[in-house]
Amino acid sequence: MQTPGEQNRETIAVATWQLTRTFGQKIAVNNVNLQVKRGEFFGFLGPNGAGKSTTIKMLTGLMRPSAGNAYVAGIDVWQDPLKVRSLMGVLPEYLNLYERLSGREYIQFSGRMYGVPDGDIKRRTEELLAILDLTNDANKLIVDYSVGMRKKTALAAAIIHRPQVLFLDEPFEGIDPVSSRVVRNILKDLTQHGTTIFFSSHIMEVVEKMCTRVGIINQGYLVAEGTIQELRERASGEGKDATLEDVFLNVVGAVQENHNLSWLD
Amino acid sequence: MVIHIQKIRWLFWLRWKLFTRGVVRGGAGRLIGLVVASIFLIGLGLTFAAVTYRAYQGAAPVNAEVLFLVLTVIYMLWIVLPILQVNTNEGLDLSKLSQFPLTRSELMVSLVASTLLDITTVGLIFMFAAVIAGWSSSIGLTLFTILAVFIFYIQLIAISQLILALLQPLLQSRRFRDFSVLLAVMLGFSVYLCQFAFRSIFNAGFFDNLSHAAFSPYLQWLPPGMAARAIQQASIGNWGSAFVWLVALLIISVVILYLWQLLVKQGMTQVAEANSQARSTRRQRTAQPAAVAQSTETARATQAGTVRAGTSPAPTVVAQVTGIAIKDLKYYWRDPQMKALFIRSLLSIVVLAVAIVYPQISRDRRKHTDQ
Repeated sequence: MQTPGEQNRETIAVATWQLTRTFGQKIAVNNVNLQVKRGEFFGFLGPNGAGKSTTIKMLTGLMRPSAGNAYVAGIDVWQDPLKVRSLMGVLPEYLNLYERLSGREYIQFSGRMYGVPDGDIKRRTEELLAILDLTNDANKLIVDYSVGMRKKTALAAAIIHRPQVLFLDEPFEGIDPVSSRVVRNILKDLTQHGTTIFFSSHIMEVVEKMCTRVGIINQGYLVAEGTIQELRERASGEGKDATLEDVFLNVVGAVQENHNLSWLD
Repeated sequence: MVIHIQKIRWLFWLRWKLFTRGVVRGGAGRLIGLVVASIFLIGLGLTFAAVTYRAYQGAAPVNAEVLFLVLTVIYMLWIVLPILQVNTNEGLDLSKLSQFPLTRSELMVSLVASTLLDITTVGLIFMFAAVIAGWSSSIGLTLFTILAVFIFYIQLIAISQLILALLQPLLQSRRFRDFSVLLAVMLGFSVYLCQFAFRSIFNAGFFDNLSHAAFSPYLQWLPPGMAARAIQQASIGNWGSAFVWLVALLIISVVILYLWQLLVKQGMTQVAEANSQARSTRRQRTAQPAAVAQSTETARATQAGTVRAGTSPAPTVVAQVTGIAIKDLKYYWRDPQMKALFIRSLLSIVVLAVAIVYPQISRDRRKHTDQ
């Protein structure tokens, strides 16, 4: 019998089947089943420690699931990790770049590791550097880059091979508003050209503006999934004008909790 | 065993860049320091190579005993050195390549490339050259020695990388980084103490043991000993025994290579898993005391009922000084550099005290026995 991840290879870009990960007694991700269609901009939300990064690590082949399966472009991530890696790009939460390469060198190196032809690497690198406003600093070593510049470099390295699926873990953290808009435009452009984007973020505004569908994870469980409109409708009591933040707080059960500092009274 | 030559080429390029940037990056001071260190280390390597070459040319069984010891020391060093270098050699950090579609073989080749561009490897080449030159009395023996040294070298790289892969999660941890700083400082400090150790090792008894072939019966059961025994047996024309020892060395090398290729990919995921697990444990650990602290604070505020907005007591100078002192003390203990300085100072006092007191005690003892 085929699992949902193996079915509909043409339409489903990312799928998980009872994906579970435990750390000793703690269940970080618990039986998560989700499907992301090709070309979708999927937002993955959840409070700190909910299991977002663990799920992304399992989807990108960086962490082996305790149970269940993860599929990217219809391929089991742990059956054929090499094939899967060549089809996807990853911007991890904690960037682990080669500090003693320049931004330009790192992007080019990434292109070479993905097997992009030399001519394309040079052309795409210069274009990415220009659009991400990194051209002037392209020959500086990454060790001297700011957080935002590192994020942009890592993003350029993750998309240089034009991946089918792009995983982004907190891509807007540490990026200034100008760069943030540039990155958003690039991501939009990628989805318009068929790339599926799976990204986690705490910035609700960005998720609300960009995502076609959203999944919310809390304490390891996928507690809600659908379009933003569907989630609004489901989160009754918040009214029609409820923002995604209201919906999110409602779904994760954080609305009633009122934390005040006792010593301010 | 899929290997894309283009990827290997660029992985070599990466290692070369990291090596040259590591040299040039620190400015003229670092460059000069590195040149001086290189001259010293190369000089040291050449001296050792020359001394051991003379020993190999000497009479049996001393020449063979020296070979056993040299290969064993090299083996031990090659297990320890990459562990100490892992935080300074970016090329040894596999997690940086984790997102790229690289095969096991490509990763293994990239790791081997990372070890090739070290000054220590230059020293190793000198030592191996001395072994080959020292034991080559005929064409057959030369070829056999080259083969034995080559298999030994493959195993040397494989064992050091296998241990790196096994310890990868530990080596990437903050605790290990701190420990390695401490260890480096301590090793530097121990140079003075090492002379005492060398004096006690290289005494008349040691050279007596060499002439009675006291080390080889034990060392021959270790991989470096097998290589040494194979060369020694070939040198006395006992080719059958020499090939048996060489085959044993080869089998162990194949097993180590097999284990390494099994663990090389696991090493990448282990780092991510170890980080996630550590974060998860930290979250659990910090969540409980925070909740307790909050409830205690609330209870205290409710009981006293005196803490009001804008009326918090003005901090006294003593409280501030105490706060700074506590912070500094914590830093003193948690910063590995400062801790190393502290321990080194402490050890200096101990060594000085021993250096002053010990001769006095031994003089008194001698006087006592004379009486």
